[in-house]
Amino acid sequence: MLRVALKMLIGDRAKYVGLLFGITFMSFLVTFAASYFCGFMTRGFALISENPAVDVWVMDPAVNSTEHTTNLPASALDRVRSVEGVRSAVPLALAVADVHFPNGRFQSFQVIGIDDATFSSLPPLKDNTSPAVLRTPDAALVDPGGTEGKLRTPLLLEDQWPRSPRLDVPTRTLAVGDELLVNDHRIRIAGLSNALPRYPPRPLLYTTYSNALRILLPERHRLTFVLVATAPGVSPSELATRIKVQTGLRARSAEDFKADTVRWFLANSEDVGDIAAMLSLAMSVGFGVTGVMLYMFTAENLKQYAVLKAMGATSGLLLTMIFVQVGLCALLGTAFGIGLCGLVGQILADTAGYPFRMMWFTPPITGVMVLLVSTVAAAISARPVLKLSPGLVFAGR
Amino acid sequence: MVSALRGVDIDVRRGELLMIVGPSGCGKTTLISIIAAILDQDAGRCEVVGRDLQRMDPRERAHFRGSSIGFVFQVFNLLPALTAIENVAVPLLIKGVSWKQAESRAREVLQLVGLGHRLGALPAQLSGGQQQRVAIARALVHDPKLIVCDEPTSSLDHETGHAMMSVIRDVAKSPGRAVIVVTHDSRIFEFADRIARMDDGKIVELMGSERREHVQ
Repeated sequence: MLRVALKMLIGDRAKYVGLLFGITFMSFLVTFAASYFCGFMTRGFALISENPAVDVWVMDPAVNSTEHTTNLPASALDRVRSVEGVRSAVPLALAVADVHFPNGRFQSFQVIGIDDATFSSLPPLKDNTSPAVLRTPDAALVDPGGTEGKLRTPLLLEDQWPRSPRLDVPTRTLAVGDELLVNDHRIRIAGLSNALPRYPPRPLLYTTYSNALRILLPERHRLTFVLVATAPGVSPSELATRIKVQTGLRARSAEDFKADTVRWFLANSEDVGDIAAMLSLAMSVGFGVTGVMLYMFTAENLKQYAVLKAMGATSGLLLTMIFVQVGLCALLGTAFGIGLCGLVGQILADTAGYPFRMMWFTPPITGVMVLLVSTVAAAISARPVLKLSPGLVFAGR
Repeated sequence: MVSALRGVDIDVRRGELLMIVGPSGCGKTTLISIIAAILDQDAGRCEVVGRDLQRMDPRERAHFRGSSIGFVFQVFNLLPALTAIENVAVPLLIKGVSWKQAESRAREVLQLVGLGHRLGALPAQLSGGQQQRVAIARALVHDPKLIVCDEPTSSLDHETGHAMMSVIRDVAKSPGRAVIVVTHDSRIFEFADRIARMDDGKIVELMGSERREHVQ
């Protein structure tokens, strides 16, 4: 009878396509929202991803993410270095500063002060720029950090460093040799980097740790993270525990710190609510379309179900038939939706830098959501079939 | 409370074709619904092929209908997405017979009703008469003990209706099977072995073949 159920479904081409479209649409939206969210989160821990050589991140015990930080005393670096199993430990300073452009415009940048000696944490540089350029005085590297059009400086020399701001003058992208002001300290662009896009998006300014101390506003502490590489034979989680016990600082393996950062965003970012709203909307739309189409399908085929019932089909058999029909649509719709989403998302990511990342768990999540919505829709539309009297088939009824 | 049937007392014998006639609202449909184990009567007793229908739960009734009763409906009620052979196979599939066996048996029965050449046709590709033949084949395919026909000729012209009744009489009627036909169509009364005339929920007259002309 399952073959009969599928033939009944496919035979009603318009409703079959409508039902398939509804489920495909829902599957697409759910996958897209989830992948968009994963894209954001991936960008949220971009700083950690950008440092694959770092096994353990050490920070103030109150810090739970790369987004919201407080600094450590400088002595923390030596304390960490003294822990057995640490192969190397380098400082990293993170701060947010307003950077003034030559025409008077200012823009908030994340300043990243990297170890002067090793340049560890430096992202790939554009135009074959050597990291050594950071050793020149006042040198800094800039990166859009996932933003668009934020790194514009006046095109003409006469518009640079005027007495009063000239905001509506022609501009061009920052280039090597341009100068900026950070807290009234001059910095010179020594190169452009190709860092991972950030969430929230913001321009990045990489400089040496010592230069960061010079240009940032004075604070008692400037060391944000100690980046640790483990000695051979020591696992990151084991070393993290050891550092925590011996120094009293928070130490997390890179993978754990990524998870911490995602949790922090989930708890603190308003965008998570937007994504949740998008997911709810996707499910509601999907439920509406699927539910209505399925209800229409069963309502219009009620007489056919009554015939089957009169001929001896039990309610259980009819229910199975309906669920098989929905199951086929759910399976095909989910596959189409996920495939379409992967295609569209990848095109958007490649062409427009869209934060799209379909993780391995996204398709199963979509599958579960589609299954949930389809089951509820099927249960609702099955109700009239179950309550149906087979007597409906007689002319006098 | 309105009583749809009152004091109905009738036996339908194996091998006979009984017609139930009467004006609209007289209780014909209610009576065959009860006989076909579709409707539960409030009072009285209905026994079909030796089984007391009131003692069955809904699941048993469904199985009983599936194994012992064949239906022919007024508007054929074929499943539009299925071919003729698939439509005929449905009662067997409901019983759990394999697709291959069901199809083989359906082919036999369709040949019996003269539609061996239209096995793969969809209902929409068949004429009214052909659709009704498919419906008759569907009612016969699982070899039921009782066939219930509800206004089987009312959607057909006189000639086709006549041909249809011939098929029912020649193919459906057999020594071990009873056929009940509910109809308004006086032109087919000649096919009945007995005619029960109903009015106001009662059987007011039960006539043998010798009295058919009187009813007409």
